[in-house]
Amino acid sequence: MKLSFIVIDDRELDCFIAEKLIQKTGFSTGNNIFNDAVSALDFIRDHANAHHTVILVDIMMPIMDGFEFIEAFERLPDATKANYKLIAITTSLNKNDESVISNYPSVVGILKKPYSYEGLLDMIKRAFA
Amino acid sequence: MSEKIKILYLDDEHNNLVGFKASLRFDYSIYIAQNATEALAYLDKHPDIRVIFCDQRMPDKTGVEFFEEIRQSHPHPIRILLTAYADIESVVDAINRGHVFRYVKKPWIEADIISAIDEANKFYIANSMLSIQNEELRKAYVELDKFAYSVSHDIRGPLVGISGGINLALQTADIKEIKEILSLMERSVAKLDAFIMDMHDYYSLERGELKISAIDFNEVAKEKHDIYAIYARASNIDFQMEVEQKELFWNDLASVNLIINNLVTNAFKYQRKEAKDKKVKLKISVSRGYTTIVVSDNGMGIDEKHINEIYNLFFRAHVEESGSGMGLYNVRSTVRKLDGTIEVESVVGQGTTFTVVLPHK
Repeated sequence: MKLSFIVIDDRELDCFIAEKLIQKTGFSTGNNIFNDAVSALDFIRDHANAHHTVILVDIMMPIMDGFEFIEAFERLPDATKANYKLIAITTSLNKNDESVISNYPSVVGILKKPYSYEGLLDMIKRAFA
Repeated sequence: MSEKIKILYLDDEHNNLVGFKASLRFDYSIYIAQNATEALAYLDKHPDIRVIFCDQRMPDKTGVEFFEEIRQSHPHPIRILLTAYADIESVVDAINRGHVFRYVKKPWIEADIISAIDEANKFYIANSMLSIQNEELRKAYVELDKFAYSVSHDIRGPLVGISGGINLALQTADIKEIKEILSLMERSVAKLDAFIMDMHDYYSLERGELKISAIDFNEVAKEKHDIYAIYARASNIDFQMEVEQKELFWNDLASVNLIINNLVTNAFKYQRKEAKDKKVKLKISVSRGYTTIVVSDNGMGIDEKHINEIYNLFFRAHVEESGSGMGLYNVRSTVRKLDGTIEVESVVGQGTTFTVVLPHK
């Protein structure tokens, strides 16, 4: 399975960890790392045809948070959305946040920080099963 | 009590009004009105009127009707009805419709009026204390909620990052990579520490007492220079300082330092990375009992649509992950505590200037 990845997280360390874990899966043909959701969204609009892309998006970020990002993503054309699978990353212990996130059709799953390599691998496999 | 309690008396009979005022004016501020319109004008002009006496029998409307009317528009003053004919029906009406606090029988004697005012005033004070405390409690709850939410993210966030880093490092044999992870973890720890320091500021601000002393801003500036010079050199920022102080300035040094440190740190932090001529300027001038602190930079600037939110607790206008969302909140709380003012001017891509004016304490 060949996939590309987009990581959106305002924390440098967390991006680094995500990248390393993604590399370890062996699926990745390329990663794009964004520290803010606005630039990530621009990138996705410019790459509407990027087949099989997994987006890891942190929920709590300044300016545009993960919720806003997912909502903006949901408004993209269906043809664009079909190329992407969203995985929400959260530190939140809030059940309400979780249920809100899992109600978005584009979100395939939620990973809680700190997530393990196995957890990530499982989530990706399930997304493309 | 330094100020006399304000009392309004509404009665269609002029003689009653004059008599009332004559016997009570030494101890209270008395406003008299011969009709509802006049009475309303007084209530609008003096929102701190505490007690209203009103005659029941008046030609245009009854006392109960008047009280019923003002209950919504002027809920705070305590309502007392004066009446000669207290049949059961009017009593029921007065209580149910007019929400009166007391009845005083006409013709009244001074002792009855004074005791009624006394009771009404106690009730008024208890009520207003209660509503002030309710408001404070409500505010505290809102902040506590925000705090709980933020703590789970702002403290737990770096922690889970660090724990993720540890897991990763444990599975890595490459020393170079482990060192890279360690240095990223070190930065996360520093941010967490900065967050906790800001939180400490927040609490000492909320609960702390002011310690007033004479402030020598040349000393303050020298200390700031020592703190920021190394950082300024390392990040290639031209840090300028200017102090103009010919008179003593009395204030709380810790508060003044909190304001300056937060504003200067922000000016350093929110620079444009690619810019060649990065500048931060701190200017302090003391004149005629006021200190003006101006912190300006030619950095990123703040988007106009966020400018009203920058002082909100846990608001962050930049992606820069080092922001705690408490710095400017703490600055503004401090400025308010010192009865000062704070203003900001900012243009995206050109820079930001904060101006704080503090009066003598």
